Amino acid sequence: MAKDTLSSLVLAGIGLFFLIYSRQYDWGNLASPGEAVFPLLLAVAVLVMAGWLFGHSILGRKTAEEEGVPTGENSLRVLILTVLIVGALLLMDVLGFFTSSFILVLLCCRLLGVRQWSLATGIAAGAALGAYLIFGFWLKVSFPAGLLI
Amino acid sequence: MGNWRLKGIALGLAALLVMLALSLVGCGSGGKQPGEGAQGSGDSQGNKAAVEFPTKPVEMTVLFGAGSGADLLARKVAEIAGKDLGQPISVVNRTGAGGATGYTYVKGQKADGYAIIWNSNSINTAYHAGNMNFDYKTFSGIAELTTEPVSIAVKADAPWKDINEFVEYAKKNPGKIRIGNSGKGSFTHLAAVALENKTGAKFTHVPFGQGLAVSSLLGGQIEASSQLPAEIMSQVKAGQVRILAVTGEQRLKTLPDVPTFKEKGIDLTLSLWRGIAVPAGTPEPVINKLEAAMKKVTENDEFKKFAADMGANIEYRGAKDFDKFIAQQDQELASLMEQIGMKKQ
Amino acid sequence: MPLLEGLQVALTPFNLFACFIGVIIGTLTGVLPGLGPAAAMAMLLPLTVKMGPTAGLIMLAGIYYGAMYGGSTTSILVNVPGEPASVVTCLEGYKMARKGRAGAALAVSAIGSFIAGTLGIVLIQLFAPPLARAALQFGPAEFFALTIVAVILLSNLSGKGGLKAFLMIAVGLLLSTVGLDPLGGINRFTFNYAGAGTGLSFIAIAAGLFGVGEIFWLASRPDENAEVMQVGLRDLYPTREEIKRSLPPMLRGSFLGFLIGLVPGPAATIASFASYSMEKGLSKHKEEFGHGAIEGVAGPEAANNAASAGAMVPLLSLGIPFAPSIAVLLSGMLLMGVTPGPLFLRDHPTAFWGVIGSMYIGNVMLLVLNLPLVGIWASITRIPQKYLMPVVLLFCMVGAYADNNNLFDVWVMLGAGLVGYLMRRFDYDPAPLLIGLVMGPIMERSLRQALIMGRGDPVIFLASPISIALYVVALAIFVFTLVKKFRGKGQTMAATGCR
Repeated sequence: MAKDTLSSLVLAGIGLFFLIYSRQYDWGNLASPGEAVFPLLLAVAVLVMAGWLFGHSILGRKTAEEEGVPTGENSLRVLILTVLIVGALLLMDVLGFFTSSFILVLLCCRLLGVRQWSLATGIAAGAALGAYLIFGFWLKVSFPAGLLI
Repeated sequence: MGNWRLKGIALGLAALLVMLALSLVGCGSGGKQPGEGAQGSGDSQGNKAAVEFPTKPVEMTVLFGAGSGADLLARKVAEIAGKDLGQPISVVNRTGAGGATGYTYVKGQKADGYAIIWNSNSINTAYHAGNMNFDYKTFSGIAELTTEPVSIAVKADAPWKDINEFVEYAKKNPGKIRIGNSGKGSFTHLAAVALENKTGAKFTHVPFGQGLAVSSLLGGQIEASSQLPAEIMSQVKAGQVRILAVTGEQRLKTLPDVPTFKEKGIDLTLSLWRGIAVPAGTPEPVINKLEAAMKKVTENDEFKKFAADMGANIEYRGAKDFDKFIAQQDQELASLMEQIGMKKQ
Repeated sequence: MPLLEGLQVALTPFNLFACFIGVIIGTLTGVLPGLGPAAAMAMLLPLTVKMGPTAGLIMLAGIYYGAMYGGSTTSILVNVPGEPASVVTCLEGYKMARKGRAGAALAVSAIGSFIAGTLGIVLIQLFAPPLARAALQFGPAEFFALTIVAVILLSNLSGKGGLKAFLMIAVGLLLSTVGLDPLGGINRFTFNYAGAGTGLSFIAIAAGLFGVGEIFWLASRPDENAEVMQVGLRDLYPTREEIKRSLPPMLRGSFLGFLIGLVPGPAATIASFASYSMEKGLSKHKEEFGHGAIEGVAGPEAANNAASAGAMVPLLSLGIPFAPSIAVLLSGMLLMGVTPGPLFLRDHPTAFWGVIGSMYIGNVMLLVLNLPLVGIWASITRIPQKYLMPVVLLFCMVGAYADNNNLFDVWVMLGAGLVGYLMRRFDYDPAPLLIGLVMGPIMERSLRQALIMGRGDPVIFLASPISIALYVVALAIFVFTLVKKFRGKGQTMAATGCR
């Protein structure tokens, strides 16, 4: 499928989601427009434009740029990185903000190609400690605290 | 290529998942203990903890952004009370959803007095607007500290000399007067609606954000504004804007010439109260200790001056009175919100 | 002349010290994502009140305008905007850094900030009262017209086709409606989750689309592409040619930014976007835009500083705050016993001219402070990305969280990161989406307010000459771009083809 075809469908989906969701809100009237008006109008606009793009990508002349969806690049690593971040966020309430971000940075270093564990550990420890000192200790931002920090 | 790395990552991921699983189990059992402690500990344990309270910094959640009127008052209270308690009180802004975001956060904290909230009428309005599924009973009051009236102001060259003339005009020309407030369902909006109720006048209510109602008033796009005095104080002093009346019980110290509605024969008193609350279930001795610290704040000269400059009156209510007061306010605001079609629960 | 006396006041050791501390803290809040000037000023307010009106206000103002200097640093170095007004600097600044011109970009943004900051004070001094009175002529109907102009003008920002840009703006506007209704009242599109009541945080989405998106992009690349930057010492500063190309954008950005600063809302952010789009239209090096054009750093960086100066006009001459950080400044004045607005100059001439004087001095300090730092910052680009990016990821997370102490924002950032990565793969430009996100609340608020104030009569939108003029401008721009597009259709197709 061409890039634009797929992306226009996704965007239409977003428009549809807001369109359906905003039906539960109040329309109001012209003298006192309710909270549904603005999102509803925009959702329609997004749907129309996404439809246009869809039609264009199906019917329009195929140019060189409209090749298929690029795959094959290292999508696996993107997926792993996403899982790593999700894991770190879930761990935050348990281990605390800085401990889980230490683990995240450590694994992220390895993922992006830092070969030595020692170096990766050093970077992660430095980053987590630095962030803690600036934001947690000095600026007194209240981070989720777990068993550790 | 990259095989060694994928293995390492897989290992790391596995370790992460195991830790997550373990920690969830640990959390499940660990999470119960404090809960049981809070409910079943009885007074003996509570007393013991309270004598030592506070042994670590206290965190005060503020529902509005850094630099807002609510925030500045809260920071001053935190500074003074923190000195008295012997532990610092750190102020954390958790804004959003008309206060619901912050209320939900504090509700989820342990009821041990270390998570306190800078409470206000938002507890009533956020609940009735349907933004949260719990109401004021979720929290125990510590103390009410300040109140701020709502001011009804017009441009300096407006034809109405006093509030009675203004109301008379609004009665004869329903909807002709556009009155700016600081947001739909906000306290200033409700105050203007209450004025309609008491006098039979009819306004067109225009919701604004901070600052913009005042500039629209000066620019002549609206005829009047319903605002907290702090928002409009400097224009009043510069003579660009006149406050016709304030909704307080007494006149404001900083604006001694401005009458109250009561003095003008309109039975309207409504004030935005602010005070400290904690999650319900906090041990009595802890509440007492915080209450005493807050009482001292209201007696502090530095705080008195600060509050006056911010356009607030000092009005102290202890824990018991405060809870009763909030319950009574809740009914009053609920009926006002019902009238503007904003009461969802 | 009062300014000379003001400079004398500002040059007394204590006031000079207050100014110095203020601008340093300001720069820091600019560099650190998630910590805005409003929060920093609120934290330091008790201290400044004790310092007395003159020194206290000098320090608060220092934090305020200093923040605009620091914001571009992280945008340029690691594609993470330090504050909303520096988002647009990511577009060209980061590309310059990837080409080894980080030093030039940093230096130009410091110089641009200095020029705009100084020009801004001159403009405040000369024109504050009439400009403030003119700003009062803008009501909701006029603001709505202004947002229409802005949307049409700024859709030009991307080179990737008008339809996609409008689509992204519309999606951005739609996303801006998540959270509390801007007219107050109820929560929308949150599935009753309280954490989402704050809405989708701009800084989290910007850090996600740019910073985290870049990390995902990097992760998706094969390793062979990971190049190590060779930056010599001589490359740290801009060349004569680069300076020459930057000066006109700086001046244009200053005036444009100052005017936009008079408008309520996130003026500095909008000003930087507007300046970028203007420079792109005017530049003789259009082909460089998107690949590290220095005009795209100089203009916006000047514009956001000038806008922050412009935003002081309503405060100084009317006593009305149009932005949260200005509101803190106003509270500070009230607490120091100074009435902002017209009485400020009459009752406290020393403080007034002292603050104005200190702003000149503070801008010089900021320049002197920032130029030597350029070398240090620029050497960061020499660190291979595989070491740097994990740290940047943490930086983004902390920033997204600290903005509102809300873990939900970090989830939003992660989502935005993935979307940013996908957008890059599917040839979408993230900038229009951010424009929509910024403009959304203003647009919705002014649309609904205007209707309420017109009591339901849509004629209010065309009731004033200002609105009509703005719609004419919007229409003209729209027609102009359409005509240009049809004429150069063949060329644009070819241009997008070889991305």
